Amino acid sequence: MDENLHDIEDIFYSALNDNEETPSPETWNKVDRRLDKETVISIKKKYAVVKRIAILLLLLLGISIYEGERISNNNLAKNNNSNSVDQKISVPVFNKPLNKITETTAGIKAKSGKKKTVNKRIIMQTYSGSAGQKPGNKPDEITYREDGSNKKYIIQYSQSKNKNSAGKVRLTSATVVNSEIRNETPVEDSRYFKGNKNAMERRQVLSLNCPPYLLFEDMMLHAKDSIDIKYSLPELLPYKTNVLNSRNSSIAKNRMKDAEKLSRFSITPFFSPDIAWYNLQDENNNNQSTSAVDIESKEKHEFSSTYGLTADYKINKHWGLQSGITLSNTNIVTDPEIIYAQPDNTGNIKYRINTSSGYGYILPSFSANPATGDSLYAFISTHSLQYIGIPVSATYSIIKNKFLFGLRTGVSANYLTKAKLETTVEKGFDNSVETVNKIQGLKKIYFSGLAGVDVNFQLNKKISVVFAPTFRFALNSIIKNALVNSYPMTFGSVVGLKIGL
Amino acid sequence: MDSVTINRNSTELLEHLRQLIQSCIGGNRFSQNRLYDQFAPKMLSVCMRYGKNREEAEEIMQEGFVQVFKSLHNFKYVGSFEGWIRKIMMYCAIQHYRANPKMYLVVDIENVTEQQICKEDILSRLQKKELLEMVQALSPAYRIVFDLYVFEGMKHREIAQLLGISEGTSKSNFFDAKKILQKAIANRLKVAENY
Repeated sequence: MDENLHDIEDIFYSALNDNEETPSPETWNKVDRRLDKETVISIKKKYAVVKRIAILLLLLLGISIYEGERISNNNLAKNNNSNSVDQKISVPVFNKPLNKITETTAGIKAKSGKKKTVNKRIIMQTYSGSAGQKPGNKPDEITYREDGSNKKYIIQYSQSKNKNSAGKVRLTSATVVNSEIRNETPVEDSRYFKGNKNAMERRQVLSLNCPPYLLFEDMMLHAKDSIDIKYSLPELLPYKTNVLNSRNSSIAKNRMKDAEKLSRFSITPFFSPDIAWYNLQDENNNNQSTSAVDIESKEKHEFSSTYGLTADYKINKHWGLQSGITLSNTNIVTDPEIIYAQPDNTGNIKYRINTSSGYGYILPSFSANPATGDSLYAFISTHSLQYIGIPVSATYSIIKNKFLFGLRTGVSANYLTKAKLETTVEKGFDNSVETVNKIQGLKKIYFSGLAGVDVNFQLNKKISVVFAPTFRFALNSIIKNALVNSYPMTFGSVVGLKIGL
Repeated sequence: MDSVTINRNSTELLEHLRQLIQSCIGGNRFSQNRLYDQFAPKMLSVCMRYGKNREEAEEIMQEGFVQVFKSLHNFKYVGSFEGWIRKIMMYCAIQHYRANPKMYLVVDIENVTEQQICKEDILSRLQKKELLEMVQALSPAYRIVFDLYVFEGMKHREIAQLLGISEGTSKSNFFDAKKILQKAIANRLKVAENY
């Protein structure tokens, strides 16, 4: 009977082992569709990290610009308010015939009451042919006001002299000029005036590219006539920008002076999403079963990151030192593979998993006594490493307005704090998750070099936003007595907040 | 001279296969289709033994080929490429077996008549298709043990580890499977004789 049963096996083996069946065409189509789907998912996964980084950077850039602009405006307002709040400008210009270009040097009364002459001229040519204003009429006074970013000249006419004319005309900024008239560019557009209901009147505004001035022609000025800032003449904008720039540059100079006075110490808490990879080299071991190429082909780096705190010390205007403490996490996934049992360092036979970061032994409960050479199917394995690093680097930086650009290079000592390996092996109807909390073959310490570029955007005297793309590269292998030598490399986008102390 | 020619042809074939694999790794769909065409008939035959019917076999093979294309970079050119694909198909079949509800067929094997049947006799009188249907008719638990033992050459200890059952269960399932198959063959031969 036994012999007969053995025959049964042979019958089926010889009949079916080399059999061939033609699959239906639909099967390939399904495989084809699945492969397309896998490709799409893989591309999605591949660029997911890049997308996240890009969004984060855009967000930070947006916040920085917004904050910077807001702070800049506040500073401008403070600066101007402190110098020229409610300045009164005398108007001898209007005593002269109005049909000529006239200019004057305005004496500005500062708030303190001291009269000082500055190099500012009011240039204004007015035509007042309408019933409202006759040539020769002059406003009682022109007042220059700046409330924050809102700059205006108030031309005050006496109501008693001309009841029909405007009581007050507000003009927008940039009627104070510092240079000579050139390049007249007439512009006509009724949009520039708001509040004037007399549409029949012809309104013409002439503006000069630099410096701008306003010319009123055939126009009756009414109370509360104004040129709204949002309808500013395009030709005025460059000038306005120039004015602001000149003010900004003076502020920037002040700020640089301030910066020089700032403390030499600063700290930067930061976070850096990293793109990580290993440079693998074969160990000079002729008896090895796994090569660097093998390991490289089956491993993929997952999301890695570094975060920590750095401290900066400014030696002089350009040079500085940086140190601190960092915590880096690296996660690597290994494709499914068959693992084999072999004696471990203590002579016990266990299943060995080789990785680029060393090796680990597992002994699943369902296979407690394997023989050398026994195999198990391991599904995807993941191993993660965590290092505490102490970097020391030299920095060279230059300040440009609110930005600080710098170069940084140095070394870092990295101390291994965690090396964990997790895999899932087959265990009948269920899978068994095996964890190795100590990956063997790893050095406790390795050294790495680092090089990077710093871009700081100053939010205020104390705080800057830091963006620093940084390349870190291992100077020695993280592995000892293992199959391959591993040199971790990372490229990280450091984002942090620098706080002056 | 002939052996030299054969060697050269085999080297050329290997080189051709290597190029085809590299092209598949690069994601060339045309090459993937060629590789599929080359191995699909044999692999479907393998999957037919693990599935209960053709549809299930094609489902297993489809999953298997997706895994093959995803893992091609892991192939080390050591050993047979066909054997490597076959192994993947086997693992996919096991996964499929686990994923689907297990239905254990209660088989009364007491009534199985034991006949002394000659192997050649059976092969001459039964078609391959009929034998395949007999294997497919086995319960999943019997079928997978029978397939792993007979066609993959695994030992009961390995089968037990792979399926998460005891070695004794593996042996018992195998024995029962053989009994059922023996009975099925005997019945089929009896029917054939009557005609």
